[in-house]
Amino acid sequence: MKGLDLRVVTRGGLALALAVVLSFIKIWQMPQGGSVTLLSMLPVVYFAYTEGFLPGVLVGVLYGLLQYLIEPYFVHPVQFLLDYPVAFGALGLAGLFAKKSPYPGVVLAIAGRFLAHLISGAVFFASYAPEGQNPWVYSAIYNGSYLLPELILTLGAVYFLKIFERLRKVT
Amino acid sequence: MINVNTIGQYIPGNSLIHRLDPRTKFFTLLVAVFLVFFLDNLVHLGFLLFGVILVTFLAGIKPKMFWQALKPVVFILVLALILQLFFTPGEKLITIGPFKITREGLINSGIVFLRLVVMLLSAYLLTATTSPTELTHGLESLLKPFGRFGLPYGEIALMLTIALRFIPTLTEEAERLIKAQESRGADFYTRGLSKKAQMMLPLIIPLFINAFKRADELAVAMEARGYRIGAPRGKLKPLKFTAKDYLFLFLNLLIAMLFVILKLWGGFPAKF
Repeated sequence: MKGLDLRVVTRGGLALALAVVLSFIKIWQMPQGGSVTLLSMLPVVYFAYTEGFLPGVLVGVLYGLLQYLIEPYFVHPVQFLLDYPVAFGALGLAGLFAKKSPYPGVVLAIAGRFLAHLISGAVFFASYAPEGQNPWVYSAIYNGSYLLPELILTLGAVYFLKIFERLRKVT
Repeated sequence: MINVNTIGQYIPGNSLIHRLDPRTKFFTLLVAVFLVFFLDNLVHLGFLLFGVILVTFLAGIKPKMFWQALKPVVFILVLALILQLFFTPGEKLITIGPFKITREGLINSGIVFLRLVVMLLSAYLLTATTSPTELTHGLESLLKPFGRFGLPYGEIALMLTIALRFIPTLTEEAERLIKAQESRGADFYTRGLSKKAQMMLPLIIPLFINAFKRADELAVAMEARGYRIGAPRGKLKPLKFTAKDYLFLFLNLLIAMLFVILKLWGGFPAKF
């Protein structure tokens, strides 16, 4: 990934800033942390499918670190890695298959983030709860309950962004 | 509607801890994380917590502020404690209805509690005493050795700097857009999720288009002034290790070694 274009770097910077700002606008706050935000993943996802997979992963990881600065939640090193750099780095997956259509990549990206949070929830409970509990189901329901609405909203927004860009090309 | 005061959790100050090099603080956090999971003795972890509280005190952070940092995780903390307390098999101490508290449960929940608190406090200390800019510079300098393997550390630092610079600008813009829409009768506080999502569309599109237009203009402006990625350049405030950094690092290693010896020796209340 040596030698990113300066334009890609500035776009990445602005995408990060936008993502952080959008993550402050919460549509639905969950009682125990976690929330449906105003499309806070969209800037990273958009950046990934316009600039490619690797730059997308890079911006995703950085967004994860910034997200950590905003809502620090560090209880276990593996939990930290999975919940921040890995979960948000997975958003770079939106850069795959982006030549044909952005939608499969977007679904893959958010599925990747879900997977990272799912495992982190299980690891966290595995190391802090006594043996013999099944944390996978709880973790899946909890993380799915805010990621699924976000997935639907993000797909919708990608659709409208595409329309808008096509309009801009015509005019 | 938008609350940016929480960013970074940075509490400006001029304490000894604030003035340490960010790299020193990164390293200290690593040592603390290692110790938290290496130690498994209630008393040893208690010493560790005492040490972290001492550093918090040195940093001039008031207890009220770190309560603020702990608040979001109180739920998980309590849940972990209850699970440990009531569901660990072992020697019975007290029985309350169908639940029984065991000696092992009591010790385990104490260990879980201390681990979580030390972990959260030490991670909080780094972000509370280091400004986002310093964190970025520290990260850049720590990533530099990986540049050999193709990691674009200069670009990473630039991206983070741009992001931190533009967060307030974009927040202002978002607020302006919200007010503009509200003055035309938009209601961002409706209850229904799908209705809310519809409201957001006229907000999100201009924000997006403007942000990326700004990015392209910024790239042109920087190139016009001769900015070249990866070119050697100086800093207004270069990071420098001073005597107190070396002292702090030395103390870190010393304390870590003492704890390792304490555990391997197995002594000093070994009963917990």
